Amino acid sequence: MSNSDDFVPMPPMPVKHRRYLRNYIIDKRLQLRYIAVVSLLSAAISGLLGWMIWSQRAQASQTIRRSLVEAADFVGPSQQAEILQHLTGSDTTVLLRMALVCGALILVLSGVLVVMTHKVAGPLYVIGGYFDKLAAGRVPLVHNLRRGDEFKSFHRKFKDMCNALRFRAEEDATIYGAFLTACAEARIDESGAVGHSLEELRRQKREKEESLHG
Amino acid sequence: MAGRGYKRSWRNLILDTEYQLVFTTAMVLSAVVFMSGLGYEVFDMANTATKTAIADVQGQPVLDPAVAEETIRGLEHRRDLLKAILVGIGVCMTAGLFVYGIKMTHRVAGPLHKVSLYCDQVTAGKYEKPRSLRKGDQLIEFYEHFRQAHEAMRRRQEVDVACLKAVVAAADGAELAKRSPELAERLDDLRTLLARKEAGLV
Repeated sequence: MSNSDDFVPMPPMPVKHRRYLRNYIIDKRLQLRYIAVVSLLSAAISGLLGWMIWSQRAQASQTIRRSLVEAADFVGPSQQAEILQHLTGSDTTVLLRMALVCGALILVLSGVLVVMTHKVAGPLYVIGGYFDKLAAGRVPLVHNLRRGDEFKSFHRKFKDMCNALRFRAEEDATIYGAFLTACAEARIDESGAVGHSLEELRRQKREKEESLHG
Repeated sequence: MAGRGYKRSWRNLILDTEYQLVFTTAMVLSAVVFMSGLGYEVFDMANTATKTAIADVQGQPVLDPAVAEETIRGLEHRRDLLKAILVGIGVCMTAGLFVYGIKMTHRVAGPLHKVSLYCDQVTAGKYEKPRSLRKGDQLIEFYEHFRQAHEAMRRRQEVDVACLKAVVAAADGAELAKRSPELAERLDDLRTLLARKEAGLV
């Protein structure tokens, strides 16, 4: 017959969970939704203001072109062609440079957001796994979250719950065990209803002890 | 938690301050960076164009000074208007995004808040049946994991109650308490445990 000292829970070992690049997207719906909203918003702002910059620049270039036509007497055709070519090239360069800078910024931003959202999806994934263990009748040993993870207060409450469940399972098994021992010491006849109920109590005690193995 | 409506309310929008503010700030900051960087560029170009136009107006000797001044005022007004529009859009967008960000993160923090309340109940030994999530809430899959775990824990509690009831009834029927004081004491422990477990099944 085992007593409560036999199944005192081991304290959770300080397991180091490393973050791997391939694991950064855990919950596609949650993470990609947020990343998409921020990236699309940034792209929309860049597009709108970029268009304003480009249209102002195009307007300025158009003014210079008109001035060149008006100044045909002073500027030769080859010079005019050179200036026009420079203007066109400059407009395209500005457009390309702007698109590249904004695109790169959005890419970097998306990368940062993947890391940020991973710190949300990670704890949820881990706790989801603990819930599965609880559903399977085991009481998990809850490890601490990794540094930088979100939902610390929720995790603390969940850990408190698991600790309470462990404590209660230990206490139940102890009370069941003490009753079974007392019955054995009193040499109770285990036939009929008493025998059936004691057998069920033994089974419940075993289940409770097994549930503590995480 | 029983009988309480789970309507969204402005007062309850921030449930997890750290998470909600961090993610909302990230969203707002990225918009502010793009808006201020490119907005500055737009304004700078508009300013240069205005300066060029003013210089052009000032360089027209045949233009009436009053007309020239009026034209310059008009050009400066347009530039200032563009600046005000850019700043206005920036401020409105920042405020709008902040509210949107808080609402968006609330749809994650809400289900977690609900689960944490149920966790507190289980910690206290109570197994109230979990309600479903509100419309628009996220973490549906996560909540399903929780619901199944909660259901299993409640079921085990019910099994415990049934088993203890059977043991106590059989022990009373066989008058086990009279067999030894130790047995009577242990049986009382079972009765106390049964009462506690029954109370948890609300």
